[in-house]
Amino acid sequence: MTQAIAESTPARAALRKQHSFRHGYVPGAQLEVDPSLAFHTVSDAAIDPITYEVIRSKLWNLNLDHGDTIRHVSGSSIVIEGHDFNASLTTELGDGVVFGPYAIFFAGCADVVIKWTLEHRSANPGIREGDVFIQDDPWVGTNHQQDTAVFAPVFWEGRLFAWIYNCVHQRELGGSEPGSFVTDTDDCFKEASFMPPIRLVDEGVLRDDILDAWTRRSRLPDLISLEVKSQLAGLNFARQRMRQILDEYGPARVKGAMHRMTENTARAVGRRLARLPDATWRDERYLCGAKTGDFGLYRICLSLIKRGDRLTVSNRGTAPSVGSFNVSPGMLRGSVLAALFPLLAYDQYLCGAGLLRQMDWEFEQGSITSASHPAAVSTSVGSMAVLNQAHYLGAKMIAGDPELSSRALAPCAIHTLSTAGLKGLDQYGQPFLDSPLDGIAGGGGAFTDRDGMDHAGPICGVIVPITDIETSERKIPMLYLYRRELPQTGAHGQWRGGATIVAAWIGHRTNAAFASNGGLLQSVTQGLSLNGALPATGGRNWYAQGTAVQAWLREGRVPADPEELRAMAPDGGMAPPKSLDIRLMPDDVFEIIPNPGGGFGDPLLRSPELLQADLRAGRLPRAQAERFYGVVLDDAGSVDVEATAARRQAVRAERLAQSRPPREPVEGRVEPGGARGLLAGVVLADTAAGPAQACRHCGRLLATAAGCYRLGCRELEDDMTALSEFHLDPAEQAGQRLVLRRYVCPGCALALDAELCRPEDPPYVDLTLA
Amino acid sequence: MKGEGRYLVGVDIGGTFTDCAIIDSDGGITTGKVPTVPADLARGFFASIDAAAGSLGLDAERVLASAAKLAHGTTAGTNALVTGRVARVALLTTRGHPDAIRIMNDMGRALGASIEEQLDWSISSRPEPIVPRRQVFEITERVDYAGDVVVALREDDVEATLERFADEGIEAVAIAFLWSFANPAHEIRTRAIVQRRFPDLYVSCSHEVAPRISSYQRTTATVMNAQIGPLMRAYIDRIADGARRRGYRGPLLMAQCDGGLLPADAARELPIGTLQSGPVGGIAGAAKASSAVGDPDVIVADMGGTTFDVGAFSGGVLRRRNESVIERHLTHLRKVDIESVGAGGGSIAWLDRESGVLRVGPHSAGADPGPICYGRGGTAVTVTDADLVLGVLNPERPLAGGLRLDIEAARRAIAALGEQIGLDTLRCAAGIVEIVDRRMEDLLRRVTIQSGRDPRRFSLWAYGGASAAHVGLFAHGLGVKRVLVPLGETASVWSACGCALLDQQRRYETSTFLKTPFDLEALRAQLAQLEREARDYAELLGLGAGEYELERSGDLKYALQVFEVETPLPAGPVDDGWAERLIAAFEGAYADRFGPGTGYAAAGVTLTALRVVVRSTGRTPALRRPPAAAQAAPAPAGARSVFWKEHDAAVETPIHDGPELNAGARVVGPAVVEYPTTTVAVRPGQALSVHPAGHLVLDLEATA
Repeated sequence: MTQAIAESTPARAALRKQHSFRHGYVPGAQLEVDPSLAFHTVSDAAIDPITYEVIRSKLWNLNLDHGDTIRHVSGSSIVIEGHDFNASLTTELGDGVVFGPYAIFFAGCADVVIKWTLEHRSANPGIREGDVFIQDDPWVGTNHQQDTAVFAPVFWEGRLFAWIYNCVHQRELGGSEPGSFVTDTDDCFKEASFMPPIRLVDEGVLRDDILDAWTRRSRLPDLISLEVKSQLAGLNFARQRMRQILDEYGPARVKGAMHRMTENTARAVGRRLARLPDATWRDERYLCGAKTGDFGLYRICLSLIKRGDRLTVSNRGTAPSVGSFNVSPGMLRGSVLAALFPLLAYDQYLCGAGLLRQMDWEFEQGSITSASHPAAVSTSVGSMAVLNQAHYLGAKMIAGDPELSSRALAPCAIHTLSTAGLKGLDQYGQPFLDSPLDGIAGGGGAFTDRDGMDHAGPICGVIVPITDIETSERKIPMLYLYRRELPQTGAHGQWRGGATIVAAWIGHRTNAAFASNGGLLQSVTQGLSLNGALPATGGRNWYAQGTAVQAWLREGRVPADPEELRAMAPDGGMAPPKSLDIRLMPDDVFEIIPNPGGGFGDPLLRSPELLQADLRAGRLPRAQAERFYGVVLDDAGSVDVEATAARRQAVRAERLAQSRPPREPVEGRVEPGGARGLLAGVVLADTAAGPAQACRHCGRLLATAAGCYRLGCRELEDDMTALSEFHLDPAEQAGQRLVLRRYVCPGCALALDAELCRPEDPPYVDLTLA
Repeated sequence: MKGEGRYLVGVDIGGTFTDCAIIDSDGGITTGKVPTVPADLARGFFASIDAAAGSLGLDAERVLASAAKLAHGTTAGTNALVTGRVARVALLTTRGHPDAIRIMNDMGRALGASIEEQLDWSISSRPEPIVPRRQVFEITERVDYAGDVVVALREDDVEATLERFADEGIEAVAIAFLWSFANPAHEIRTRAIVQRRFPDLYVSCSHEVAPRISSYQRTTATVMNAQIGPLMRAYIDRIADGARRRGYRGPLLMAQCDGGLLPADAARELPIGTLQSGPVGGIAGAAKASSAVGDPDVIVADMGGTTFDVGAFSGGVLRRRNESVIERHLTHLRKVDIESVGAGGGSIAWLDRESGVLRVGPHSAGADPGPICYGRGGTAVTVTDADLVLGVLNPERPLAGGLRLDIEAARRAIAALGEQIGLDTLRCAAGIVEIVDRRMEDLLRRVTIQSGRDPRRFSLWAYGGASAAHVGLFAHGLGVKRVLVPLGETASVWSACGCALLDQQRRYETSTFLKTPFDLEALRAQLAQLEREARDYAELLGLGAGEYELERSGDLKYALQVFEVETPLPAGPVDDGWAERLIAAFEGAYADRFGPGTGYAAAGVTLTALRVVVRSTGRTPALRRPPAAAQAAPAPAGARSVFWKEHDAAVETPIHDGPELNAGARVVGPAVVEYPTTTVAVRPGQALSVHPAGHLVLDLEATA
């Protein structure tokens, strides 16, 4: 589906622009562009496979060089160490044929920014050779105000051939908090002001007035000026290189290769989607922590509606925007796209246009995940939450298919974003604001056939490192008591999540230092697991003040793990959430546990060999082995395989006895082998009465084809604190009672799905066949 | 460092072959190539010298007895790490911090992984920790960033740990405490306690192996040093003894990946420095040899069977980086800046069925089973198979080691691959070569641009077994000034040759953190200490004034930016004027590297490391391998059908016998020039000429 171009009229354009400024820009079926702009559309559709592969590789490398040029010129730690930027090459209509292996969610915003510019800047001030535009308007399409897009058209013989685009998280653009993340606000007026696409370079001439306007609002204007220049340098390099490639191969072949890249990706994604049954997969969940002092629960909803080889994404039902954790529609799109790349387009070298070509969108206007102006959007908290939600749901969608399931993985690091940082006076007597980034560390989610990777980092980027201890201690007035692996933290399941770390800091050589504890409330974990596995903890931040730690250190005693720390500071407790000024002096301790990975499959299915290895490696406390996995150990401490099998039968019986009966019971059983997968644990089987949803493990019928298996399952509810010492109680942290509800097959008692909900919530329908 | 002898001898042991280059006092070169003997590397070492000496009518004893220098680059340490055949190491860490090598600062999934592995989580992995948890022991002690002791060393902890060594079968010890480079007292004391109990145990301390900030990278370096320590100590001793027995009177010098040579007795304590020394020998040798050829600015490309190594230098000056990825672990290993990718003759061509696209790499058939045409069980089409089918490689000529090529098997496999995408056998083979060579061209461009250089100012030197057959294509789009295959046939043993040319050097460095305005007193003290150590070392080697030089540099960065730039320290006393000159030099170097106006000076400048390198100053002979033949323009030795994509056809192509070409000879493409271990493809529109010193110069835009 290629977009058509229509002539714009001033009246319609004004209306459309107004709408985009209020509710966010979404490109329509056709782009309305001023007729003065001529497009280069000649394309060699019959490009040979060798030339295609050579040009594809060249465009990939051009884009990497584009990114490297930005890194070199800016020297910014956010860009170089945090990889919080991206670069892209798009078609003349803004469709991104290649992105860099950096922050991938920028991929879903690039096209909307360029299409908006085509629609609303082609008449006035016009789009000409040598122009460069700059913008950071979240409602045109960026994550938050700091994410600054700089982009330029590439012309060939007077016709618009392509666009070069980059987007960089600029370090400081003003607003009420240094660094421009504003937690304590209800609207965007306390945040950095932002600008829709404006012309920064006018036919090759950098406009000082625009650059000044851009940098003037920052606390560090000279630094921001340098960051803008780094983005311009990247564009200039990429544009020059693009010219060389065009000269060498000719515009028709290059455009032919660009279209082929998109088509190949679209075909691959379409073929994969076509494997799946026509159905709607839906996720509903609570977020907590909209702003400082807010403990409300807010529902965010996402549906993946699959028909044929296409996928519609809808966030209908999501609660209205609130506090500071909202997401603009463009960023919803970017987040979903970033989440689906590794699931559906893992081998397509980040060709965003190809993936987007198979997708359609429905937005719940004014909601948390499609906020309307002037909602507050600067914190990125919602973006990471919706990215995680989309990744979870996408994985759930493909996990039932035998070919695609190998790409499914459970939630990874940052599923429940926690942003612990420090500020105050540093050891050199200077004011500082910094973070060692422990909060973004974390494990990878479980796969459908192996455990998740320890310390794998998040899904939102390719590499998101945390700072080395010594590097942090040299620039931040802190001393680590410990930073160690917590091997037992990976979520429980047939396949376990990857482990995370625990780190504890004290203030060091400072007269004034404070820790912040931002992000989502950790007790309302977003680390929901797949296919009946238990959820991962949302993390646990703990603190103690006025402790005896200095006396301990002088005496040669170092509290080196959480247990020893509790022994030293028995009065400590959970760190106050969304708090920015938790004292951290040399007698105070702040301990942080970020997110481990989610699991896959019912723990009762985990093999005794793996459990034995878990126990030996300290990855599983014995009590949890017995409780969740039904493990029985012999006198030598080894897994007794026979006794374990018997115990697991007993656990199943206990589950059936203790659980709530199905809300809509269904009787009967089929042979599940060979039936089409709907979810990892649910199949569509043929019965005499027509097709029906059944348990993949035992064949027990759960619902008619038109129903939902969840309603045919028994419901088993537990408090989160029952899962491990690392899981927090939402009642204690937020005053909200939430339970883990598992949907258990009434036949075999294996869990098929789970959610975190209020006890009174009815099950939401997570699967609807078309 | 002194030597009166006639010969410089370099030996490079690689995975497949052991190469020797003997350089006489006039710069004349003789080479030898023998198969590597994995079970007894020393045997291959001396066999290669015998082979080279044989060409001079001598034997190894005669050459070694009159050698001024015996330099050695080896993959022994690398191989030990790759295969895991390393010593069982106990890692002693600061209490509370046992897991830096497991956590890997959350980078483990990406380090050393291909882009395909990074994007597709289902094939993504993390490396095993370099030491299993049971061999990690926490010691109560703590030093802070300023070097002040926060928690005193608990010696009873160390003693208690030693009790567990026997059970764990510990063979070597790595001690890596936090901030040990700021205050090494606890590491030194711990080592003393270990050695009192176990005098023969190999012990590495992090403040000696890698005195730089970042505990993860310092720990991995220290552990790897200990892992290969016992093995390398024995290995180096065996070769040093063998050389002595054969009459060599100087010290065996081990090539280091930072581009210098270290005497055996120092190298055996820091064996980590020998990792990746082979490719470094190549580029460092090129830097040494380049000025004599009038090529101060060079991009080097070394294409072998499995890897493609790329580097660049300007004005003959090599650039180093302070970190390296070794076996997917990030480590503080300072090495000459070389980019290495998995692409070479062994790269596998495959059909991406999803997209109907031909792709090449990233997987490689390696040396074993290798390409299909090696007939050793390889079933995947490789670049070498394509070269053979195209006619570039001679099917009648066996490889070094006597291996005969099976062209029919290669042809069948490529035909089957081509059929699936509608290409005939020859066009499919040409496509494979085109794809891999264009990717190399892009990599070469990336490496030069990343180092802030314009490729058009550079010459390209191509060496390594497969380079000469491909350079005509991958150099094509770069726009380099000229392309040179150094010393022709010597190209295939260039790393050995490079080894022989290196100088002895040793580095003394300290990690620091001085913000402007610098604390000059602290700076003076740190610098004086380093210089003292460097001069003491020179004295130990018996070097007089004028026989060595001290090179002083610092790593500086803009306070709010990330990149550190190594900057030579100004001469003269350390005072305010000196500091100003240093900052000016840094700003100049930064602008040179990253472009004018890229530094943010308002927040000040930070000095993060000081370094003094002591280096012997020896004369480098101008290398030459003058052609022996008398004829300037000999007739081709034969002809065969070679497919050239420029003609989109196979054409009868003249084949020249390389050793028959005399200085000044010019071969116009299309042609193939064959040497015993190197094949040069002279593409249509290109021409090859022979430099008086024996280099082969490829003119990319020759008019026929």
